Amino acid sequence: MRRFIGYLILLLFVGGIGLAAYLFFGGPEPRKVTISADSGDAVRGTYLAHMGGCVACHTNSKQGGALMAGGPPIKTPFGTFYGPNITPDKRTGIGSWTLQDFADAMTAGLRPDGRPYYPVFPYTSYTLMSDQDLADLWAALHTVPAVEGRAPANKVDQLYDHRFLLIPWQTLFMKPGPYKEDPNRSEAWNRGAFIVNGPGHCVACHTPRNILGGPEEGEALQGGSGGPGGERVPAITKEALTKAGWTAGDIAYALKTGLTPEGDAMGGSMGEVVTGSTSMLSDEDRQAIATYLLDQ
Amino acid sequence: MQLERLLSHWVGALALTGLALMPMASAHEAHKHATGVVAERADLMKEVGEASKQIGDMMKGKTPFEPAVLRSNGAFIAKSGGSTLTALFPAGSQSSTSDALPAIWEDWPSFEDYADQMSKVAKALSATADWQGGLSATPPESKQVLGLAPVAPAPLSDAEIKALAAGPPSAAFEALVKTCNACHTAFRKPR
Repeated sequence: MRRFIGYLILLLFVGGIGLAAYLFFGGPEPRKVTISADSGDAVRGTYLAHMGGCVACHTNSKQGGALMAGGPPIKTPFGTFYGPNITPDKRTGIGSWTLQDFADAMTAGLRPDGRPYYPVFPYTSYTLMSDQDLADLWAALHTVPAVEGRAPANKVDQLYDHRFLLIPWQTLFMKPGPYKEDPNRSEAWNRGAFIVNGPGHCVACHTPRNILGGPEEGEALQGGSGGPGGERVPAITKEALTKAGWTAGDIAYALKTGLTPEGDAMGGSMGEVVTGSTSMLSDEDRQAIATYLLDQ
Repeated sequence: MQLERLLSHWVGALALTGLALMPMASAHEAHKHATGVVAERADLMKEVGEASKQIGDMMKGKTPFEPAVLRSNGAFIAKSGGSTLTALFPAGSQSSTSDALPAIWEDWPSFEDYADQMSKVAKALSATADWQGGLSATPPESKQVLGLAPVAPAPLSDAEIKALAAGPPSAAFEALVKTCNACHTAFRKPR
């Protein structure tokens, strides 16, 4: 029982700090995009959409739902969430948005009405994308047929069902992008860091979350039970991968096919990630991910 | 009282999380205590995994390419798929010592399709042992979906499987592993 009171105090305490930080620094500042909406390349954007795994959360494939017209339930410790309709439908999709609205969502986690999104939408990662990336993705989303219809309403756990709490949350845990290259690292390493922490959002499941749903400080990619529905997620730190005998070639091959060095085919949520995302990346990008993971 | 409600809420949530995680923690070790048909299929899958590991190591260049190993391991996997595999999943053979998901029996035709494709693609893989193009040959690039079609692992047509048999081992093996992965995603408990 003391433990739970401890958690509560922690919650109030951190929430208080977050609120104070918010009052002092203000909420996240949306990035102003500097390029025009029609400068996006839909083919490049499609590749980014695969990398970002948009389909997995925004398309209810199992129920035969239309592409990007709303996703299956995503069970988290904070409630059950549904990826909304992101087809170009004017009323129920993103058809009446501007590129800036899209950038606000992707880089600052803000809806067009200025209210925050729950971080189950991994904007804390997507914020690393460049303006050009956003314009490309924007163009790709406009190749999708517009479909009318809304995903079911989120069923947020009553303790967290307060969107205003998300503004201090963002102040505490959001590091705005875009990605800044580390000049002391190779091009492949930088590309890998961008994918893993950015659009690929590997960190969303492989980095444990604290009681407030923020990334545990100093525990990047250490795994835990942060997979969909509480699925166990392995650590993918340099130490963990090396200890388990993974080489760069093993990582790249596993991302391409789903085969582990032991000869098992992954299955589980990562099986879905391989099928719907990493198997469609270029060999260079899979190598870049491996380069980064083995040299964090 | 509000505080009490919150507390009981936390207790409940944590207890539920604990309960939910218990079977997860045991699922991986479950096979250790398996008996009968559950142990039989777990053993078969283990052998298939070992055969795949040997081929995978050759494909990744970790070990030298040996056509004879590719041929025999491919044939072994082919023999292990299809009805050999599905016969080891009789109705009602779900158990706590098994990694099988109920979805197998809820969607038996799909399960059979995967087992069948496993067999056919592994046979094609075995046939690529005679490939003369060398391992460095670039396999034909897998279909990049333009537009944003959801990528369900579509079953391969007979023509596609025939093409795999006439191509490089790398492409056939990738197609095989993708079949394994898709089936495990749909029908096996997460590990």
